[in-house]
Amino acid sequence: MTTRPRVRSSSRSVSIVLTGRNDEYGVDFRTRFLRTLAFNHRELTARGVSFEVVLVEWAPEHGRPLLIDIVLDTLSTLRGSQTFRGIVVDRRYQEALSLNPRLEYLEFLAKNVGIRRAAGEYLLATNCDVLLGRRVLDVLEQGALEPRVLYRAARHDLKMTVDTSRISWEMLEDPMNLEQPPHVLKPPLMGGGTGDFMLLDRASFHALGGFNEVYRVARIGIDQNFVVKALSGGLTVRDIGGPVYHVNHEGSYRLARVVYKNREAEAPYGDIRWHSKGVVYVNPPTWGLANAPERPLGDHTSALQFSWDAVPPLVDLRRVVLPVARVGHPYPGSYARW
Amino acid sequence: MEQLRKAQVRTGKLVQELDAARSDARTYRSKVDELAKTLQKQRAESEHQLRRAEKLTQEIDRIKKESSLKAEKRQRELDEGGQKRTAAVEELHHRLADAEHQLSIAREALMAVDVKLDILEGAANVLDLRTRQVITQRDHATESAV
Repeated sequence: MTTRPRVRSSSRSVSIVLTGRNDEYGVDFRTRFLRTLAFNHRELTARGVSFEVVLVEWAPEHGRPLLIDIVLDTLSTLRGSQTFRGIVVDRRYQEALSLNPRLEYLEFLAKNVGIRRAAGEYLLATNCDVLLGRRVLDVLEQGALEPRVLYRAARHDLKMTVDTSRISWEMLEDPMNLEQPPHVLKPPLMGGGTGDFMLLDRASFHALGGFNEVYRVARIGIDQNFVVKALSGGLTVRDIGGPVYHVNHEGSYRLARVVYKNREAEAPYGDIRWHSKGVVYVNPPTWGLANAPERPLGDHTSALQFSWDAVPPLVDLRRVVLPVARVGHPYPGSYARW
Repeated sequence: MEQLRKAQVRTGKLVQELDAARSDARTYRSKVDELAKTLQKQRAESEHQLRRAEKLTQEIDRIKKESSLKAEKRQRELDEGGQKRTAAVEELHHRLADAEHQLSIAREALMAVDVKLDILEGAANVLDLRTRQVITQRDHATESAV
């Protein structure tokens, strides 16, 4: 974290949108997040990438320190820095918006809050425990990004036993540390760990209206649903050319899906069988809690206060629509059968 | 006398040779007659075979002509049948493509309906929970007041 920033003129500004809270999701969440954030921040800074981290703390639990405060206390260089923005969202939004009591975290609504307010020319929606790979950093450094292209990166899962107290390229890139053979992204949807890496220009993200806010019954599949909407909107989906890394942990979807096999409807992330590949959405213009009153908390941190004006209707069925077929792509209706 | 005897012997020989020649001539004549008869027979047979060949040729021509007509007719029938079958197959292809398209549309509509039902079910569950909470709180309040 002591690396001196050097911003390249060719670099395009990127907002990295994350969401989390201090609830020890998936065991030892704080440590995993802080190590990941420190690594990504260091590598981006060293390469002179113009970036900001937008952390949305969704529905924090009462009586626990805010994750944003823990981040600023631990990584003190972020305090008052242009490279960090924290947004705390009142937990009543979780209660008011949820359409599934099993869902404890409306992850993609939280990400929409960040996407709506991020300032970068390009936005990377990712997760708190995802480490950016070398190729990804190269592309960001070179500013080799095109508008209307949704970039995806394959996720390489590292074994739970890997010591992540000192993250290094040798450790990340050692094939022996991988939990399973490297995943290869396949067109058209380039699925697999989709929510871990979705990089798109801000104008396109906004034109698409962010992630699905109409179907609030599941959080699983919302990321892939966005890819279907992007294709339907005529955007290109492209592999950025290198992986991101994720350290496997208890409670991760890859492990939890085995636990909920044959009782998918009970899963805490919603029922995976919903038609995320066959149906898209038109979010209301107020997506991302646009009408939520915002109160500053400190330098580059703020709180979204609760207001029913910011809450979309519980049910708005007209906003569930079918995707559009595009030349050169499979007919969208066939996605569900893949 | 000697000369007379020689002449008589010679005459006797000549008479014998003449008789032999006459006999040979008769034999040759009968052979010639036989050959003439045979020739006549062969001529007759040849003429007969010629006439038969002509007849057969005519028959072959007739059969050829008939076969050709039949083949043309059959070909026409096959062509017409083939065209009908091709048209029928094309029609089936069109109908299949149409059915697939309709199925795809129906499947899409079904997916949208499923998703909408999920939302409605979710909303009903959430409202049910909220209602129960309100009623429970109200009951507690009423009990406390009593």
